[in-house]
Amino acid sequence: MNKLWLIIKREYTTRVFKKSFILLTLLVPLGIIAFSVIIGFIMSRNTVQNIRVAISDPQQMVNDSLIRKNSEIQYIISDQPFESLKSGIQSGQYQAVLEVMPPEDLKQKDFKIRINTDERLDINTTESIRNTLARQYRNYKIKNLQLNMDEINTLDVDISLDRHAVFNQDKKQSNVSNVVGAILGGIMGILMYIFVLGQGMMVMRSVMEEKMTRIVEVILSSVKPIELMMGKIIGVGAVGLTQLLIWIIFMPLAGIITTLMLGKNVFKPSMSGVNVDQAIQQADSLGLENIMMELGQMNWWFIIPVFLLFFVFGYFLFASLCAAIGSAVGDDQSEAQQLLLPITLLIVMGLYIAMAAIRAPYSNLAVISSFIPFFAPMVMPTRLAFDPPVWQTLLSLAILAISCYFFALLAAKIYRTGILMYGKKASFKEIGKWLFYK
Amino acid sequence: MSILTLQQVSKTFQNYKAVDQISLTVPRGCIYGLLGPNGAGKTTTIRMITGITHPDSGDIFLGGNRVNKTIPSSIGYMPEERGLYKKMSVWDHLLYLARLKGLSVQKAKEELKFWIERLDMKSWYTKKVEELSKGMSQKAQFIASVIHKPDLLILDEPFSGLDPINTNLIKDEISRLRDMGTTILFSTHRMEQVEEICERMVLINKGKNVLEGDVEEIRKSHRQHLFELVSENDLPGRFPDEFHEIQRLGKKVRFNPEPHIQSADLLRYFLNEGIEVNAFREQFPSINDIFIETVEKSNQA
Repeated sequence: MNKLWLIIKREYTTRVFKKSFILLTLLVPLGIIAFSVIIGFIMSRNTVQNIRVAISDPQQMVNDSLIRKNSEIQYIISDQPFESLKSGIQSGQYQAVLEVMPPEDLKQKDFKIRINTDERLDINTTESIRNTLARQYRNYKIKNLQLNMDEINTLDVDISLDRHAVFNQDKKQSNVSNVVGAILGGIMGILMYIFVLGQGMMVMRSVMEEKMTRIVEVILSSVKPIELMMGKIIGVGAVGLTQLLIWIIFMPLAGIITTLMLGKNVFKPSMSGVNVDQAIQQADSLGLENIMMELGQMNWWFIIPVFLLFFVFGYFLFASLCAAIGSAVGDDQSEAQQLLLPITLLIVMGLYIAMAAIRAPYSNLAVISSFIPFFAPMVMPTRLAFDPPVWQTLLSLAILAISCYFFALLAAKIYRTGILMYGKKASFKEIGKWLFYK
Repeated sequence: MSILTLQQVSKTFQNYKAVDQISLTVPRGCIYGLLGPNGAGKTTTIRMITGITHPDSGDIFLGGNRVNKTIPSSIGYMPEERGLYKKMSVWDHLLYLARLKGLSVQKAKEELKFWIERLDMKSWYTKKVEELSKGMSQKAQFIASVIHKPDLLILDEPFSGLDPINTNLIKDEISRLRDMGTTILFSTHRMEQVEEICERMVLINKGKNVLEGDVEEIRKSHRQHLFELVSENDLPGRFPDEFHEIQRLGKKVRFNPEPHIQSADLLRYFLNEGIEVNAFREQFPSINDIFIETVEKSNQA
């Protein structure tokens, strides 16, 4: 036990006190700050072309005040026909002239508006002009059809489902709880994915290095292979956790700094995609209070320990397989990648299933893959926020724990033989035989 | 009293017998040579003694106790395939290895100071392992294998890559440790080192023990009745036929006489003939010759 502790300590301290670790750990949040500032800056820039557009509007259908609200492109309204506005293009007063006419038939839906310009118009600019005109035509129609603006606004409806349990007195489920669950589940799934893959690789590389530098036989004359392997897995895991903790502390800081540097709503108007707007609207409609309330209602005393258990077992499962691969290959990076591929595939598949499980946490796919040890560490934590049946959580955990033990044992056997094999290329068949060595 | 005994020890890897029914006994307090051509099973044998791998059959006794799956702490081991963590400082690294051997921090530091001084590494111990020369890192590895004062020290090709000065330094340390009661198991395929250092030896070929015993006795028992004469003055053109002169190099002549002719007979003849004898000796075969002869014989068998 004492030796295991020594190994863990070495694996941990040699990594954590390395310059590159400290640098990376501090630089990643800084990098993210810089990245978000730059992205925010780019996104907040006016992306439309810097042009002035004259509107030839002889019949004065354009609403002056409405058009000025949209200030991305500067419009100049005139009642002159296009012919007399041509000179303005020549003198550079404006670069384009739109010719608008009120529709003859108010039921007409498609309009072709002529724009006279020598400029080439990009997508954003075209879009902006189209939207502006569409609003004008809609407005014109409303006025001339003598519709009431307030009445029209009441046509838009929003529906939310309010679930009430009939016999089962379980937790209340609302729109809010789905969104909160999705966010929480997503974070847990991705955290697991990044951690398992990142630290697993680190374990593998470290085992390969040990084999390559031939230190391993010296160490093995003092400790058992299983101690060395476990010490490494635990040590590297602890390094990952340290980094994660630092980032968890730093990330909100990064967010605050970004917001301070760019002013409050950097991201809101800029991302011009409809989805973001909708999401923000939705979030707004849910209300921060509701979200906080929902978070407060979660059974944290269950979720957090269970999540941690999945985290630990999942990490051990994959890390011991990575250690086994590292021990089998030695210094051949490409061979390592080859052997690692099946494991990476399993992890990536797990992540995709987990993402699907966020949308449908009670589906067959989600439930069944919760009981498959390689997917469970990703899938089950994402479902935790959706309050799955307790037996499913426990069964999933039990299966994972048992397979973790089994695979760690298996990996230890491969590791024990592989780590001392030099110069030979290890096939899967050969590795299989190692399992039966004394 | 023997410190290490192997009884009928075998180990098989994938249809090939790395070690085949080896038995041997290492007496306490001697320097014992473990010889054999490449791939003879030396490293596998050592790994089983150190508990890194386990025999398929047979028993290993260390100081009277059967070696089971625990790693014996009374062994110091310097493997042939050796290395150190590159990024650690020499001091930290050796401290770590000493602690793994079960030494307390205090004790480990004491021993480490002693050895760093002794092996002349004072200007190196703060450096990182990757900055060390090969010889320097070899010395560091030697320290790692002796720092916990093992009863049995196993050295696998300890001199490979060392310059003559450091080779002598390590040789002296080996003799000193032997005088202090440490038993040394010394694995090599450099035969002249065996003659120089070892008292007893075993020769392994194809996983089998083909020759074991006292080094001098082995040499004696393999002598081929060869004699060498060095003379400053002119040698006669011919020696008697029964002397069977086999080689003449300048002032050196080698004979392989009839079995009934002893060294005294040869000397008497030289003196009678008035040949000045600057040096005369019976030639024992080198361990190298015995090695080659024995290995070839056992390969044919």
